[in-house]
Amino acid sequence: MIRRRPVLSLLTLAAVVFLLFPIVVVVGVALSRGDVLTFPPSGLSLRWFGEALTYQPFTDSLVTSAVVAAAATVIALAVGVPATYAVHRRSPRGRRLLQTVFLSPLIVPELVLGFALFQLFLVRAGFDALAALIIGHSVLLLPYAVRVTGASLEQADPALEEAAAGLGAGPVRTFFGVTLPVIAPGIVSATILSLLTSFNNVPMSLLLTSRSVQTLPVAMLEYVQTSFTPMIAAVSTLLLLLTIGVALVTERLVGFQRVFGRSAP
Amino acid sequence: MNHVVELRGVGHNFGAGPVLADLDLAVDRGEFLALLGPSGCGKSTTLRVIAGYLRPAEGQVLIGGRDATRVPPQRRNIGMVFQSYALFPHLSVAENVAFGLRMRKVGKLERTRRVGEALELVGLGQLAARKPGQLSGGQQQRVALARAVVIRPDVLLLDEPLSNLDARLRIQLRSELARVQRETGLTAVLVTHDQEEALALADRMAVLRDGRIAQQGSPREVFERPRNRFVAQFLGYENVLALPDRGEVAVRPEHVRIEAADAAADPSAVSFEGVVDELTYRGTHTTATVTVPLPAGPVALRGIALSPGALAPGRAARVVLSEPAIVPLLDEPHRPVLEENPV
Repeated sequence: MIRRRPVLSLLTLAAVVFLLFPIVVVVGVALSRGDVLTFPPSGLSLRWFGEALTYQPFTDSLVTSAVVAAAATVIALAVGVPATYAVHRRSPRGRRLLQTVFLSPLIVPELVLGFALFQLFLVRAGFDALAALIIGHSVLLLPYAVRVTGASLEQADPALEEAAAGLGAGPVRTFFGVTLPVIAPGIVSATILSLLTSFNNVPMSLLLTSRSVQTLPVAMLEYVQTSFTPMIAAVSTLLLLLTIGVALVTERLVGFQRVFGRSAP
Repeated sequence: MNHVVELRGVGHNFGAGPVLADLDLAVDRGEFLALLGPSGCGKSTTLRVIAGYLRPAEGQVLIGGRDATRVPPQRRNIGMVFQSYALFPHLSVAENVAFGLRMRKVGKLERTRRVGEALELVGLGQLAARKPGQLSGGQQQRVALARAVVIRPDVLLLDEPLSNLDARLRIQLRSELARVQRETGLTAVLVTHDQEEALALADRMAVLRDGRIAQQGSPREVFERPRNRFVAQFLGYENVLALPDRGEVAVRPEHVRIEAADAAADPSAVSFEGVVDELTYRGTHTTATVTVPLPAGPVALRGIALSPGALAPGRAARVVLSEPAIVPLLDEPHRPVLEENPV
């Protein structure tokens, strides 16, 4: 292979190194024993992992992030899946409009959206930051729920639902007994994408957090502005492990291609 | 009244012209009816109206003598086999077949027994635990059939059930379909564009054109005595011509003999002189197309060239129609021939 296409092989190798290098640096720095961010690390230890796991701003914000991601995902799916289903099956003409409306959060810059919600929820309505974060993230995640569900529905044979009706199933039984199981892989994909998107979000979270309620990325951002210890690398490494874990679970559940590739089931 | 299904004056359109136009159709108990026609003739739409997936804009649907026009599909007792089979991918073969029985709240014991019987009927007893994705196309088709039959429907609807199978499997499953219908005694309506399928399976067939029935009758009646140009041409009567004094007639190319103009003529047969357009080698025989000047204008006729060596494009030839093969198209208007001199 290398002998036959040397240029292509070299480019591929360069791309792989380019992609992996920052990860290697982060993991390396995290394993450092010293007090400052240096690469290569000065001595090896797990010291900073221990520090990160007991540093309260991080542990608190981790809980906040998990709560926000889970709640926002549930809301986005609970709104997005039935709405997409209704529009796809009942009125093909409404499909375009729904797509546009529900996908608009992808187009509007998140900072703009975040600022609008900040004005509305925190300033005007006086919501607490956690509620504002959950609602804001739900809006952000809706496009994923709509797009992935829509793609699954489009690929599902419409005759399946007709077959169920013909065999005696009413609309509700048809939805829960046939449609939902058939698009389930798509919904699992949407769930995982939503959880990751919410968990990694910075711009919107930045505007909707308060002193006491912060998501993990915001807490990390704040930390690096004042400190320069390898603890931040340790947190990053832990997040990396979490993401790899999610990816592995996803692979076991529905297959990686289905979630991150364009082809829904 | 013994009609299981009856359509009265059913009309529908999807915006661009009528799909069904004032369609009347009745299916008798235990009958196997085939709806035959080219794509877009309204045959699948007719099936969807019977199943209840489509509520027609006009007309009435009667099932078992009762008006069912507004009854949704889940409250009609109808078994449908879809072209795509539409098996539930997340359920096993047995669960697929049991689905309709569950909806009918049939008890577990009876359900298991009937599912077993239905799978035996289609020869799939040993595959009950498989998922549809693990089956071949032919096996999926049988599961779809078992699932439709097991609920003992008032009528079994078959929407191009064999069109996704290869030629050999199609013939094998065709005879199996006939056997299942015979053994269950179910009333069946088959939609197909394949005349062979209709001829082999149906007790009665209806040829559809533009949302109307162009002709119906026993397969033999329709196939051997088409009444109009459309049905004749759809069923392979390639030669349609106006004979002086006899109006429009149709003849199958296999019943037309093309011979050299100088061959000895049979005075009792109907024959015309013309010019050969082309010869086509077909393996077992050679066909020839000959343009013949008829009073109503020149017509290209196709037939079998008995001695192809004596024919060539541009040369004169004689077209011979054997009398019993000439089918008068009774529905076509008889256009009087104006010219004086007969051919």
